[in-house]
Amino acid sequence: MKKAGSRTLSGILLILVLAAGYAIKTVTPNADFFERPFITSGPVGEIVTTRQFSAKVISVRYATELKEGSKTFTTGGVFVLARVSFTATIKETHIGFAQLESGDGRTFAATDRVTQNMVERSAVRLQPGIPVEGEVVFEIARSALGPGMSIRFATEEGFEVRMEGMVEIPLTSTEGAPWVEPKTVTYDPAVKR
Amino acid sequence: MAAGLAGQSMRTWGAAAGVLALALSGLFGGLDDAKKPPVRPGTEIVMPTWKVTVLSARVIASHPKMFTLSKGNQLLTVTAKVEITADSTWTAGGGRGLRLGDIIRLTGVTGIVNESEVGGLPMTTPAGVLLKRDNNTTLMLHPGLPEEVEFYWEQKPGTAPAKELTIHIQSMLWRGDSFTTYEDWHIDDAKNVEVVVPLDDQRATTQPAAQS
Repeated sequence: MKKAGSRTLSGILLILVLAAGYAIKTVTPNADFFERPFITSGPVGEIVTTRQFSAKVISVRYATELKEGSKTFTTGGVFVLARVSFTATIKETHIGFAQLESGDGRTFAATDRVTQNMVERSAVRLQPGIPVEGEVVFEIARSALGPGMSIRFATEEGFEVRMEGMVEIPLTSTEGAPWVEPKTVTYDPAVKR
Repeated sequence: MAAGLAGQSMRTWGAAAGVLALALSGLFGGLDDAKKPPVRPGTEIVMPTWKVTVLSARVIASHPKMFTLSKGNQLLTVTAKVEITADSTWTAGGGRGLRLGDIIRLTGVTGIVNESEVGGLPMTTPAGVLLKRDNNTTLMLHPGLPEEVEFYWEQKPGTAPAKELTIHIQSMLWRGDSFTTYEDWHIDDAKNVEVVVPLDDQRATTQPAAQS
């Protein structure tokens, strides 16, 4: 009788320990939280500096049709063209990560439909102290256009931006956005040093 | 009561455990039909991360924008309307994250180059995606922007095309890795939807122009 009671108590204790372990795992932050990027924010027109580079968003244009050379690109959404200037701070690097986040939390990577010389795979190499200026193009849903948008940049030497320095620029104005009428702009992927 | 429980035979414990396992499995879909009937082309398939409507399939000799590993390989293509409903751009992959190849897979097709096995079945992810809007390949689809695309697979030359293709539209589940705790999308095979679509043989009309 005593042995049977002890066995049941052991079983209950085991279940309690497992439940406690699950509860701790559920409420404590995971690796994605601990390894999140270090974000530095600043407004359009100001230089925002993080560990490996600084960024300045100079201006933003919006369009429903892009002309790049002889090619014309249409979209069911909106193209967002951000004129930016990047400068490496301590060593040669490039901006491998460019993302527009909408007010409702959706994220849009810089489009691969047009030539992108400032970001992603073909990004220009940045040398310390030498600013490079050009446009970065995003293609976003119409429903994403509006208050709360921000653009984020990071150097991405590997696959991810874990624990990387990241610059975030909130877009507080959507002046010139094609809310109703279609709008065509000419895009030049060239960069200025 | 504790003495009563502990005094039960192993057979009783085993039967109780079996009933409990069956009940738990039923709660999570374990008692559902193992295989759902395929859906027809033109049907919108709604998954947690995308909406897909398979429109048509064809086999072609070549396409100026679809890259092949070996000259002479033919191409199997599937045209579909796709809208990403997840909250991030879905890309061609590389590392963790969202991968275009997760949307659709072929099964039971012979001669596919770079065929892989998933769960013992040959299941092949597309070699690339063509955006029909501008007839160029793309490496990404964005949330809230529905597009008509053509997924393509490279097939060894001379492979006799079947009359129809069996396609799996994949379902995804967001969960943490139990070892690393990194959160990511994982294929939820149990909820995949099968589409059977007639295959149109257009090889004769899509031969590349002869070199002069």
